[in-house]
Amino acid sequence: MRSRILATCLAVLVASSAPAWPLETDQYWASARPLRDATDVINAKVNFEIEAALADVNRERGGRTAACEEVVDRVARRFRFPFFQRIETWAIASPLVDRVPATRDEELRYRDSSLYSTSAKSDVVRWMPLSPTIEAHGIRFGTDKLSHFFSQGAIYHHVHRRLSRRGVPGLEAERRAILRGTFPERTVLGFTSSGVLSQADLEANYQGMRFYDGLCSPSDPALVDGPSGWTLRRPFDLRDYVNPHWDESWHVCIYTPRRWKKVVKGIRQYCGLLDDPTFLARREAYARGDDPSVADDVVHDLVRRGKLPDPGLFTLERACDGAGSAHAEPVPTAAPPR
Amino acid sequence: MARRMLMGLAIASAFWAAAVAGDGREPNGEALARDRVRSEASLEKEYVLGTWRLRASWPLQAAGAIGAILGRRPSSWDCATVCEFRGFQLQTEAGSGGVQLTAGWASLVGETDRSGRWLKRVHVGYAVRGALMRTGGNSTLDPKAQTFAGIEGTVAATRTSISIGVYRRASHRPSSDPWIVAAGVGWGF
Repeated sequence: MRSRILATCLAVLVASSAPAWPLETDQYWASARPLRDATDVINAKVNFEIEAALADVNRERGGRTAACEEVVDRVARRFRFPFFQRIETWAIASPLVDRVPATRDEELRYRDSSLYSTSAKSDVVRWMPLSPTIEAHGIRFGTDKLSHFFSQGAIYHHVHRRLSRRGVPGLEAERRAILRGTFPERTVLGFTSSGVLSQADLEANYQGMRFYDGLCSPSDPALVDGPSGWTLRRPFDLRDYVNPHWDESWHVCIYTPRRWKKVVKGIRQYCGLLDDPTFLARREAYARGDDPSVADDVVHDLVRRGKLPDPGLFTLERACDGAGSAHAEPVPTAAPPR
Repeated sequence: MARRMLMGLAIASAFWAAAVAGDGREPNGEALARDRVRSEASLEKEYVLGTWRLRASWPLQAAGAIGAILGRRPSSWDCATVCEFRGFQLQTEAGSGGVQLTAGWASLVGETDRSGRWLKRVHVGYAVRGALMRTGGNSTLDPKAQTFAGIEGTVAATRTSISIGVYRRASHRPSSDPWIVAAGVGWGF
């Protein structure tokens, strides 16, 4: 009987411990809609949660000294919820964050007219709701990037820390942590399951690793242990991490051939964006701030080794054959401007 | 009382922000955001969300359940789209093989119907509930009418839920194993 109970508990635990579900997002859909910048509220929310986690640690430890990495785990736990992370459910529900879609009707329209809407409703990419688009520091991204940042970022951080302890030098340890981190994206959370590998997700994971690394960094830690317990010396600022690579209309996803056949039809409804001044201006701004990233480098390496197809095959220009709105298909339209 | 004080604090913050803006100075976005986030976290309201599920299970066989989650969430959230619900769940279930009453903790991400009163769609979630079960009717147990007490765990994803429970027979029957493992799969939460 005991073994049966144990097996039951184990099954429930495994089912509920996955760090993030493969949520998809569509930044093209929200392109025509202005969005209020959410940097300040996201920073305020994250700092509020970190301070709450530190208050818990300081209250509970009662004279016992908690190691910095224990505190990091408590911070990570504060954002966690099986599959969806708390920070993402907050970003989707709170009126403090401006997002598209924002209402029930828009949400339904989003599901029926996004770039994934050309797949059957029973398709795995449509099992879960698509993440809405928000904007921070001039960058547009799906709320799922916040989940990736705080959940997968914590996993990357642990791998990176383990490798560093084994003496693997700085950049190499980062690259290897990212490479190991790409495994779920290339399998259960992405390529194998849904046929979609999001480069933007990988970038958010990597930036999350940087955030967690910085909390106990030997040279400049954000967390310090003082007479009144652990405190946050340097508040979280999303501007240090968010970059154009978080936007899936700029840093496009990589698709399996089978998935691309379906997605390309959905993307073609956005061909008109190639003539849209707002969309083009955003792209120009992105191009100016598009610095090379270690995560990007790892993906390019996988492409060079033939492990992944070239992301250049999946751009809007490629889908539209460079012909602008002439190739726009009469499929459902994106969010209209307010 | 505390809630009124917090409401007062939130209103005072809004006046302060308006006054700052009225001076022609740039309002301090970071400070304002901090106040708003704190105010959001402190001003909560209670809610009751109706839940349902239809499932095939053993030993209850074909069963239907209805229940409610009692929880708290920030009062500014309208949960018109995807939302997180957490709280105490009470559920009653009737099947062709018996009935059960469960009570425990539930946590899920889902969507409500247009009224906001019923859970329409569960995306992911879990529940751990204490359960009291009385079998009968088409039950395959021998004897059919037995009473069990136990714990049921439910994991749900994309509207489908799987539940597994471990129950101990409440009535005394020395000749057989007092434990049973119940399981079910169905629609809803």
